[in-house]
Amino acid sequence: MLADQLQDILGSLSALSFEIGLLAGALLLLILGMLVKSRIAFKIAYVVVLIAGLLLIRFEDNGLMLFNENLAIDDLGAILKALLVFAGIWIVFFPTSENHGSEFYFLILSVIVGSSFMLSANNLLVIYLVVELTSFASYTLTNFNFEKKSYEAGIKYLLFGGVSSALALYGASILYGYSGTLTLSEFNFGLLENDYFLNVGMLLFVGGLLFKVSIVPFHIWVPSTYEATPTEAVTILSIVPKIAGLVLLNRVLDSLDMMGQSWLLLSITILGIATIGIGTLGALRQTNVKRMIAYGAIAHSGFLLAAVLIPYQNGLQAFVWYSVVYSIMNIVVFYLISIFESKGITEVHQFAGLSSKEAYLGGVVVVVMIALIGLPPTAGFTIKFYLFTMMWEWYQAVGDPWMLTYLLVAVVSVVFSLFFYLKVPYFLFLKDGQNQNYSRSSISQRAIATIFTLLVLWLFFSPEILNNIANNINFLDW
Amino acid sequence: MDNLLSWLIFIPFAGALLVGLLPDSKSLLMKIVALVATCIQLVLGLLLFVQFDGSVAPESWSEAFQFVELVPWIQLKVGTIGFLQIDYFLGVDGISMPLVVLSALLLVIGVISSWNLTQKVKGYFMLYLVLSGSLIGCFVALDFFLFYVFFEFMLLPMFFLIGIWGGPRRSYASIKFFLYTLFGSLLILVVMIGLYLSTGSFDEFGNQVNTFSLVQMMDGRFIDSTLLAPGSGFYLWGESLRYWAFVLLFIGFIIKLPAIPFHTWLPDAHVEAPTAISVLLAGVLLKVGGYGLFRICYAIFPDIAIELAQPVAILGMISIVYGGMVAMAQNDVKKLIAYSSVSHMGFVLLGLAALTSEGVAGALFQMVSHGFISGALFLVVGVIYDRTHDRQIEGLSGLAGKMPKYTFFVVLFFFASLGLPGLSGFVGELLVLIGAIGAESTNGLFSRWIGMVSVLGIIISAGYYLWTLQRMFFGKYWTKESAWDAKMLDLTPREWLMLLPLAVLTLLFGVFPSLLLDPIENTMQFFVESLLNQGQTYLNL
Repeated sequence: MLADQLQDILGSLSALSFEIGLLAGALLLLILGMLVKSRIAFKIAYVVVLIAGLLLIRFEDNGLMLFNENLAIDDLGAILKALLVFAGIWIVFFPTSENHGSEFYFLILSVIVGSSFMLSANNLLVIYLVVELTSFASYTLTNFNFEKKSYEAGIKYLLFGGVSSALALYGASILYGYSGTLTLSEFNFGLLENDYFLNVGMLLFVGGLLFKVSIVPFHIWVPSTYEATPTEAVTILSIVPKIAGLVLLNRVLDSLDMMGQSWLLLSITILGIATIGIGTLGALRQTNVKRMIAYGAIAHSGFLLAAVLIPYQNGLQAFVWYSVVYSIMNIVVFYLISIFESKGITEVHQFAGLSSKEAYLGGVVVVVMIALIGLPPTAGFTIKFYLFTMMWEWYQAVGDPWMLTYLLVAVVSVVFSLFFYLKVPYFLFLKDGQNQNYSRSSISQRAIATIFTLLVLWLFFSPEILNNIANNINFLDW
Repeated sequence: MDNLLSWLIFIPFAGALLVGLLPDSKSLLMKIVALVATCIQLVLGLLLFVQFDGSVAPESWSEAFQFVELVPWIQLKVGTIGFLQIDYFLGVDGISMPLVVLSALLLVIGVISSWNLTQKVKGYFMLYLVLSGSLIGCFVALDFFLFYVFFEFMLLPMFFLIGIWGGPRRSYASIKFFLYTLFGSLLILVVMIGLYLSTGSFDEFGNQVNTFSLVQMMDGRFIDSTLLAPGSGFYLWGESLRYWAFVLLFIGFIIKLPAIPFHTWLPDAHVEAPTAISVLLAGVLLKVGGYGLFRICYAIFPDIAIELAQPVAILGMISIVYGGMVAMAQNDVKKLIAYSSVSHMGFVLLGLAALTSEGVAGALFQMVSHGFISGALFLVVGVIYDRTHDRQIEGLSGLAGKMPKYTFFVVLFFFASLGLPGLSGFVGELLVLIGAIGAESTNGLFSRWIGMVSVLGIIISAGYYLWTLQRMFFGKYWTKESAWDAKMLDLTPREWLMLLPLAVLTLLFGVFPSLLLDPIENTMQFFVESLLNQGQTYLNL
């Protein structure tokens, strides 16, 4: 018996080589920080750890249960882990990342590790632990600008996060009480569906996850946190925990068996619609670029949530598409923000008249914003198009009017999002302004921005590669 | 010449790239590149006109197109739905051919008209050439996805062209233009998704292959029991989903056209846009809306077109009369022409709604002739604006004595626009009115009085044009500011070069309308017949 368990643990450890590798790397990085003072060395070590992790990712076509079904790995998780690492690598190029010590990279790696565990968690307590791992690292990252504003944002984030995780834990305990098991895949509430208290438990537990992926009304921390956090950390926060959290949400919803017609599913659908609406409308009034993009990212969460709510393979394929392109777009938009931030430009009106000195980068900004809005010819259009297709198909299949509403709200939100995403190009090109002291971006900065922009364009003209990835994933029903 | 249509699209794109590579100081060279690129486009456009075989009498839409190019572009496996097929699919028929030729011509004239530009020349001509390519692409694309990409791709260059090189309220006007048209195009996007999921066939393995091919949609190759298949029995708020799809498409395209009540972006955009862009906006961009109604809204949803003929016709009538009356109240000449465009585009709606061969041919003829005339009218206003930087009717008087040659052109184009027999505006409007008034007895779609009220539009347009002529050009010579006096010289050779071809064409098509009507006759005939047949079939399902 004991031997079996030991066998299970030992066998499971080898399947977790990616996470273990990153954790070990993170610890080594901390030690390195005590020995070396060179900033560049930290960056190099960080990238080396990530690339080593990338090589350790293990693909399991048919899925694999680990540690007595507490964790599970599958293709979807493996692909998304690669995506998280990919997103992680680029932050070393951000011009605002010059002054960070080794602890910064340690925390970033913790977020990535926590999120990759989220992709495999199959147990209520494990879920709680890895969400906390991600969250604690995120709270700390928020303060790395060491200003009054960032303390405020950090505390806000911490309080909201603390409360929502406490509620989630309470919800988990209720779920455990009803089911007698902590393992998601063993849940069976079929007969108890309308039990009031059980529904409260579900709602609380799901709410904790909605907090991580910034769904309305759990989104309040997002704008001020994004504004005050170092831009490279925002890039990570807006991509890594969000994608992992949504996959986890998908699994939780699946195992709670709410894909039928229940009021909880309906309320999440309505929250998704509200997320798109509030994210878009909230962005309209912003003058700080990062806050504006933060609201835009909230709206994008609403789009991603739609993919999660469409059951089976269709929804998850749309999710993979959306998350890949969303990550690329976010990396490049925050990279651009970081370039301008390093020159002291953070408010929208400061962009006025910059086109005379920064015409090329201005053009790149236009393409990226167009992609975020979701207009052709960018991959931002392709993913929205793909998602809308799936929503239409689901509406056709079940005739749920809320899905049609979701679709229409999503479409209309694109018009509104035009209004704020275009603000930066608008000031850049259409307004006149004084920018005597502005120093032009370097060639390498422009080159990196160009590479990503071309990627966004290229994925529009030949989306086959994304399609191959999405179609080769064996989506498992846990 | 092979791949004529691809050349038409990609030569301006190549030109844009070339302009982008030139150093900033070589502004003359940039203008020359733009001129050469658009001139090649014009030559190719004329070649298209000459080589187009008007004698083909199609039996189905798949036979109706010429110069067809079909290259598979994207094939995706979409979840459990099946496959999605997007093609690079081009072709022209009698509906799109005249519009392509019209655009090619106006694009050259636009370059000539912006020849004196000094500010940010590089960006201007790059955007201009990108716009040229997408415009042509819009008219020749036979794949809905491709059409949509070109359709959206026009917005951005236009936004910047108005927003950077426009008048004092340019930023307001450009944002308004962008928001309105983007809203419209998103409505089209929703229907596009529904349509492609409803159209297609099964391949040899039994997989469902959904296609964006407009030809297949027009021929009605719908998949059974999908949301937008005729007679599928899906209803929303008491009407079939096809009905709502038609309404969304219709709104999307009449925003572009524009018709009442979605026209308010047009006067703003026209007033603020630089002259060349106004020419393109009125001459070509509005036609994209009309073309979309022909090709997509009407040809794919003939059943609803029949059902809604009366409201559409009434909307056309209101546009004609109301647009004309608002035009009469304007003091800014550009605004006057903008509202007269609304009024004249109302004829397109009216003729299309009638679904008689006269009405539909008239609607198309009206689009082409309005392209020449409104383009010319904006050029004419540009002449004054270049000299005075003012466009108020009150600011000038008695120009006829001072600038006789200019006045000649003004009178010609005003008369063409108000529908004087012998000039091209007359033919289109006459055909539309014949079609509209005759609709009651031919197919009974709507009653006679709608056409009769619309005749008022011609009288109103005579009113505002003649009144403007009287105030600005006749009477005693006078300028509001004495500094303008010295600048009031007659036309320069460059202005002759812009105005003369349009004047000749206006006259030519007015006297020999068959030049245009003959090549498009068979397509128009087929359009009307298949629409009425198909529509009845769908309605009976």
